[in-house]
Parts: sequence; C-alpha cells; structure tokens
Amino acid sequence: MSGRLPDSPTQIFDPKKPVKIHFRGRSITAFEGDTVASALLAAGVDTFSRSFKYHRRRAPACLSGQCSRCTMNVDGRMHIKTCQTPVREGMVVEPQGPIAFDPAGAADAFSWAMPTGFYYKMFYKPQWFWKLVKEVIRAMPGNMAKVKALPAKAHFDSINLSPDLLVIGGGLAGMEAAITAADAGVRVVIVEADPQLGGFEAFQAEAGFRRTQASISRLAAFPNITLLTGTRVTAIYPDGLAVCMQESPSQSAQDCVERSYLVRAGATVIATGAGSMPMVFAHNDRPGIILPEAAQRMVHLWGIKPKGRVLLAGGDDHIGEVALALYKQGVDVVGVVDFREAGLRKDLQSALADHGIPVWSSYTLTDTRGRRRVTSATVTSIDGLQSKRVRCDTIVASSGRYPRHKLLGQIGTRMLYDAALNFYLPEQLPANYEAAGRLLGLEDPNAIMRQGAHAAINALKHLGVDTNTAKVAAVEPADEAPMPVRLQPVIEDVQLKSKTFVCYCHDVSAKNIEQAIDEGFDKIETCKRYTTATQGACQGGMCEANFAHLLARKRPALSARVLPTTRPPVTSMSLGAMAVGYHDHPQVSPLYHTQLAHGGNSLRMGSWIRMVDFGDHEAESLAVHSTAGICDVSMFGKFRVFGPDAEKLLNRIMTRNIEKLNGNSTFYYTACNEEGVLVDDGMALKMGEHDYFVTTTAARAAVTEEWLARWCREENWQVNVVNVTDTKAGISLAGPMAREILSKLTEADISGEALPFQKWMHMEVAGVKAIVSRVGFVGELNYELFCPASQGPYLWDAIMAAGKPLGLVPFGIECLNICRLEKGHVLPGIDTDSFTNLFEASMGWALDRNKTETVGKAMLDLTTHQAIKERVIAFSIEGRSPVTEGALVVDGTQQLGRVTSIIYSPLLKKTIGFALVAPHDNWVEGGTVTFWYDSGREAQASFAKPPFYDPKGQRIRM
Amino acid sequence: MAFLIDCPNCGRRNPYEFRFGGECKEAPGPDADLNTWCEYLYFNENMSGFQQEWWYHNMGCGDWVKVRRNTVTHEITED
Repeated sequence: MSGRLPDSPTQIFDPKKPVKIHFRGRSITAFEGDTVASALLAAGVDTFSRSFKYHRRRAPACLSGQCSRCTMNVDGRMHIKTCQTPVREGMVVEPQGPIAFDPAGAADAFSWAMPTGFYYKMFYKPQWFWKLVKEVIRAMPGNMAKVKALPAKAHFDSINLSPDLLVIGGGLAGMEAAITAADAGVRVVIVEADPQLGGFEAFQAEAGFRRTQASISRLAAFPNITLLTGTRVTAIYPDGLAVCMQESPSQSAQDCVERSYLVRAGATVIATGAGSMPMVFAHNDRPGIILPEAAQRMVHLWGIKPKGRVLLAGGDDHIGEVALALYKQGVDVVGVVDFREAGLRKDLQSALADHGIPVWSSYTLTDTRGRRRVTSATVTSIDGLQSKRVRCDTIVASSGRYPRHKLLGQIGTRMLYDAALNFYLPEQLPANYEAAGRLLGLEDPNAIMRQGAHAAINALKHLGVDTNTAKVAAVEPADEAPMPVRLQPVIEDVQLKSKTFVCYCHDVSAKNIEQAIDEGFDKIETCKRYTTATQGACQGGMCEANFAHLLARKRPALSARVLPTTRPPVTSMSLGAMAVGYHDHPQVSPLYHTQLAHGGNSLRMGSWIRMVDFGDHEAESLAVHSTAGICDVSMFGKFRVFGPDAEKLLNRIMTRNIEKLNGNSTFYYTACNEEGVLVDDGMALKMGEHDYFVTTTAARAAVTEEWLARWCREENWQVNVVNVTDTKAGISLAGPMAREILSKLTEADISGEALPFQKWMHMEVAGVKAIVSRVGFVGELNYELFCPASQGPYLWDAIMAAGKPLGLVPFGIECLNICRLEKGHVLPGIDTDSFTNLFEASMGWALDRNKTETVGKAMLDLTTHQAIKERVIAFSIEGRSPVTEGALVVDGTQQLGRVTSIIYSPLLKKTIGFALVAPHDNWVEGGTVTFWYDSGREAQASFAKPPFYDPKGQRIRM
Repeated sequence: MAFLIDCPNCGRRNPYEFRFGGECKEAPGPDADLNTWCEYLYFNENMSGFQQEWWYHNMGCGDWVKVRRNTVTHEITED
C-alpha cells in the first residue's frame, strides 16, 4: 500500500485492486474506488490547475464537487471535476495549461494594475489599442482547456423517468425520505452526486459510517427505489422536471460518457445538505489549504494522510471534532485556531489538550506563505494586536457551513437569513416540493432522519397517497453528541488584505469587492456582475456566502443578506448530453444498396439519403432523351387512403376535385395550407371504391400522416390513412426506349392505346406485381412503377438487365433536376417558399373554384384580385453560366428576388432555371433578368416561358 | 416540460412524444371576410392560464389529442 493509512471500515477504495492512470506522461497507481483527484493527491500532486486571472497555483479545496479547482482534461474531455470522476484503467488525465511553470504567472505581480472593472475602464479608448491587444488578452486566462477533437466520437444517451417521488440527495435525510415513501408503495428515484450514498455522514469516522450503513441496507430492500449514484441534478423546474447528469455510467470509455435522466416526478424532496465555506484571509488559495470535508474525505474514504503538519482554523466545534479525528488517524496536528471568544466546547478543549494540541481562541488566520504549497500561516488575535507565524504544510479552514440551496433558487424559492439560527432558510416552497436535512440547518442525525421521513409523508399527501399507514421508522439514539455545524462566515477586518480571495474561479479578492461597493455597485446583483464573483465555473459554490456576507457587512441596510439568483445548470454539463434527445436517422430507399453497387454517389437530402448521380449527370440526361434511364423514386411519400369518407378528406386537402377522378386515370394534385401557400403536390390513383393510392413529395413524406389526421381530427369520418412509404419501392423508367424495355418484362399490353399518358394499370413486371402509371415528369415516355419494397432491388436489376443492350442507364437526382427544369416543373418548397401561394407558384389552374371545402381556398379566393407579391419565373442563359442557386435577382441596386433552381442542360446547350421574384416589367417575352452572384459579379439571362423542351408535350404522349 | 399528457390510446405520456399543435381555434366559415381570416390565421390568444390546445402524438398512436393546460404551471385538467 503506497502511502495510505491502514485499512478502515469507512474506506471506499479497494487496496487489492490497483488501477493505472496516466498523468502528464507518468503512470500513477490508484485503486478501484478512487476518484482521479484522490489518486493524484495520494501520489503527492500539489498543483492541479492555475487560476483564471493571476495564474496562481491551485489544488482541490472541497473534494466534493463544489469548487472548480480540480478540473482537468480527462480522456480528452474538458473541464472534468476530477474529484467526482472515478478512476478507470488507462485513463489519461492532463492539466489544462502549464501547471509546473507558467510564464503568465507574472500577472500575479501586477494585480494592482488590474482593478475591478479593468476591461470597462481601460479598453474603451483608444480603440486601436484595444484591437491590438484583445486577442492576446483573450488567450491569457488560466485553466482554460484547448478544444481538441476526441479520439473517438463520444456517445451520449438520455433516459426519461416518471416516478411518483424524486429524492435529491442520498444523505441520511434523503435516504429516510426514499425509504418512507417506498414503504408506502410508491415508485421512488433517489439521486446522489457522490459515487456512494451517505452524504455528510459517510465521512464522519466510524459513528457516521455505521449510521449510513444501516440506512443503506434498509434502502436496498426496496425494489421500488431506483438509485442513481454519481449523478448530479443540474436543473429543476417548478413544474416538476429535474435534469440529472450521470458521468460515465459504465466502466468503459468506449461506452456512454455521459447520460442525462429527465425525471418528471409527481413530487420532489430536496435534501442537498450543507457545505463548508472557505475562510477569508490573505493568500487563502494556496495549495494545501482545504476545507474540513476535504480533509475528512481524504482520511476516512481514501486513507490519504493530509501532508505534513496540519493547522486547523474555524469558528465552530466541528473544527475541533475534525482535529481530533485527524489526530486519531496519526496526522500531525499543530494547532486549532478558533475565532470565537468562548472557544471550543469544554470536552473538546480538554481532549485536544490531552494530546498536546494547542488551541488559540479569539484568534484567526490572516496570512499564509509558501510557493508550491503553503509552508506557514500567520495567526493573529481578533483585535489585531498579537500575531505569530505557525509552520504548517496543510491548513484545514472553514468559516462555517452553508446550505446547498442552488436547486431551491431554480424553483423560485428565496433563501432568507435567519438571525436566530444564523443560517439561510428557504422561504416558501412550491406545491409538490419538500426540503429536508442539513439544508434546513438541522444537525442531530436523529432529527434529520425523522424530518426526512416527514418530508416524504408531506410529499405523498400532495400525490394523494394515503399516508395514514405510512410509518416513520424508529431511530436509534445517537451514540455521540451532535455537533453544532451551522454558522455563517465571520470576516474580521484583520483578515482583509490584498490577495484575500473570495471568488476562486475568477480571482476576485475582498479588496475588489470593497472597491466595487465604493464605486456604487452595492446591490448583490450589480456587484456580482461588476466583479464577476460567484459567476465562475463553480457557480458560487465556494464564494456565495462570503460574498453576500461582505456586502451585508459594508451595506447592512441595502442588501440585508440576500443570495444571488441561481440558474441552471448548477454544474457543468456537456453539450452532447443535452443534444442527445434529438435523434437523427436519415432514411434510405430499398434500392439504396443496389444503386451503390451500380456506382451511385449518395448525398444526404433532408430526411433521405439519395443518389446524386452515377458519375456524370449530364450524360445521364442525354441518355434519358435519346435512349432510356432508370431512377429511384422510392422516397415519394406513399399513402393508402380508404373508407366511405375518403373523398371528403382528400377533397379537403387537395385543391382539385377528387370526384373527377375516374377509372384508370392518374390525378395530379396540389395541396395548400390554410394561408393558401403551396405545400405539396403529387399523384392520386383510384384503386377501388373509396380507396386511393396517394403519393406526396419526398420532403412531405414524414409529415403527411399528421397533416391528413389534422384535417379530420374534428370530424367523425370513416376514413383510414395507412403510410405505405416504406413498404413500396418506386422506379421511374423514362426515355424513348422505355416501352421496348418494359415490354420485354411483361405480358401486359402496354401499347400507347392500352396504356396512354396519364393512365395506370396493375401488371406483373418480371414476375413482380406492380402499379405502373404513365407520367410526364422528365419530358419523355415515362413509366412509374411501384412494387413491394422487398422486391424493388430484384425489379431494378431485371429492368437494368433487359435495358442495358438498348442503352439504359441509371440516373440520379441531378439528372432528374435537369429534366424537370427542361419541362418547367415547379417543385414546392424548392422553387417556392413558405409565403408563396398557389397563384404565385403559377399553379392557379390547379384550384377548383367550385369546391367549398378546400384547405386554403378561402384565402386564395379572398386574395385572387390582390396584386401578387412574388412569382416564380423561368429564365435561360446561352451556354454554361457560373450563376448558382441563391444568386440575387436585381434591378440596379434593388433586389427583386433570388434564383431557386439553376442547371445546365446539355440537350438545349443552355443554362435554365427558376427564380422567385417580385413583380417587374421585365417579366415579359424578351425581357432580361439580371443576377448578382459571387459577391458582386453580374450576369444576364432572358425571361422565358416554360417548358423549354417539347412545348407541345408530344414526347410524353408517345 | 415536466407534465404528462393523457393520450386516449396510449395513457399518460411524456410531452416530448407529442408535437404541439397550437391553441384550439374555430376556423371561420367559407364566407368570412379577409379580416376575419387574418385574425384567425395570424393571431393567437396567448393565454396566461388554462387554454384548450391540440397535441399530436407523433411518437405514439398518431392521434390528435385535445388538452386543457395551464400555460403558466403546465397543470392539465379535465375540461
């Protein structure tokens, strides 16, 4: 055992299971159960980080997740609180910045030149100077991690829980609340930030350990309690949502690195406990100056002896208890400083005297010395008359205890200072919230347990659970007298020198705060913003009480001890863990792999991964016009709408009248929203009586179900909508040779007479049952085949095999784009935007004026005679043009609109496209369209009337 | 959001399974004038308190559900 104390029952590491971690290129042996910080402290690491402004050496103060001094880069992840991160074999831990020698540490000597409001005062003029130095200054702060890519993509996940009761804090009160509620039969989730349950009691030597073990074993008996250890609640909301973050829930770095739990509980018990506040004296930030909980955790949980001679300082009996506990573990205690006149309790005084430990009552700490870590302290009497130096290597100092109230603030509960208790107490909690334990200033373990139980019973009453039978478990009397631990910080004048730090995160000293107050920033909220105290990475966890106290001391009337506002997140959380709830699963067509095998180049487009081209989209488009091409159209939304009221629903969403659809005709429709804005178009086929097959654009496939359901939600119609998008593959076969290719694969009569343009039929193609329709999208003889998704790849291969000798080529979305622009087809959502109505999209012809019930028709009717605001126009440019989509359409300096689609057609040897523009005199035959592209270059096009290709539509009717 | 929505088909579910569909409004008749339509389309009550609203259960049964919710406290009550 390397330098650890002998085995004790309270220890939580396993000395038989060594774990190796890497720190600054050297290997450190830790044990299972260690945190990164405890492993480093045991290995004798003094400096963990450099401070923000002055680059002073810093080491953990609290070891309980409150301060931000132990943050390091762990396995490539930044700003990790090493005191709460369990060690893992092979873990790589790096400090954030140079900790051994830091040239920027020179800033410490120039602190006199950096008063509060330094930036405001110095850098508003001259402007040129600020511009010169700002980059340098912004690179200065200490302990700021460099953003580096992680070696592997980090995995995050998120879990939703909705228990009846949420208990925040796994100390005595929290455990008792959970047990009481679970015993009454409700489902409970209990969240504890430490890797183990027990809270404050877990590290109070053996007596506390026994108490926690009893509760832990009772808790374990309930199957209706979900226990989340190593989990921090970072935010709670008044309506009952709690956001909990769990670091590394599994032991492997490859697995999930952070998991969020979104807990929606019926009621919540907050038992977050209390923590020590640092004492305020000059140079109170040197490595080696720690809080009592850090000393106790080191000794009792991890068997680490605080280094060398230890001096303790405080203002309550707790510090005497800690001194005795340390002494019993063999620590060299050189003295106890107590700033109270009365001093420690008599029995503590005599016990310390028995061991030869001096106690200085009415004394306080005023200064420390030391370079790498503290080497001596100046102890001064409260009146400032006597002073002496005490040699020591560790100082355990605290000026009192303070409630961990952050979550209470987030649900709108103010903390009010109670002069009688000398403690902050929550004013009023919202319904469904209860507070329990040391958070309320309780000290006696028995009282804490009973109060925890009663908090749970009150919470259950909110839930409407019968609490008559709920029982408060009998509590054994404590075998040791409780210790008074509630006391607010006392700051004496003798302590206020320079480098007397209040806010460690941002290096804000007591002098800085006094200066801010003198300058008029004497309200807690303005002073906090001006000095940036309480705004650092620890979010006031270390400094809030001292800060409020200093302010109250200077301006008793103005800010009578209110605490600054608290906001989520309480502790840092990664963006990945917040983003993880949003899942992104692009869809692929059933023909995806087949097309890849044919050399398709895929690209993410909206929710789909589609094929852009198969090498050369221009050659593909020429092939479609001369021989034949085949394209995947599986991403169209496909729906079966059937039932006696199917026509009612379809007539409501389609601008044309579905009643006019008869026999084996295909039916092109457009759909608008209530504003008359064009949102969709597609095809409808009548499969039988009140039975329709409807396709939509690829972009609308995902929302059409909702859209159809929305337009019959208030009707009692008998209509069913089945989404068959994923169950059917779609293949478009187009080109002059299309009929010859298809006839090789089917026995059906597909002559121009039997299956003319705008008709469809069922047929077997290569033995596959398919719906085959004649459409006109690409401007050539064009068949669209829909077959079961599983048979799609087979059908594609069969068509390819039959067509190859005739020059059939596969084509992608770019070629499809060329062909549809040649035919002048407007694509809703691409050539139009969310303001373009049906008329402006040049599709007014698709509106059936005689229908009464069409979504958007009322607005279209009412605005028919209004001047249109914008319209879709077509244009052409001879040859290739460098103009791209998004180029502006201008008239002189006035912007008229933008280019929505533009592409070069090798067949026409022209660049053609659409633009969405405001009305203008030029939009007539022979008019010119001027583009502004590439940040300032201009190009001309001529206004055109589509279609550009085969205007009479003879080729689609072949 | 911490509240749960009572879906008639699926039971009490987390609101993230739903998509908010806006407050319940009655569409004007086909003969209404432009002002009435614009009022309906572009203006909401933005109640502070209880309002009737639509939620679409997109990660569940696919039904539209009418909910009476307090926009301040997220309390949901029967109407």
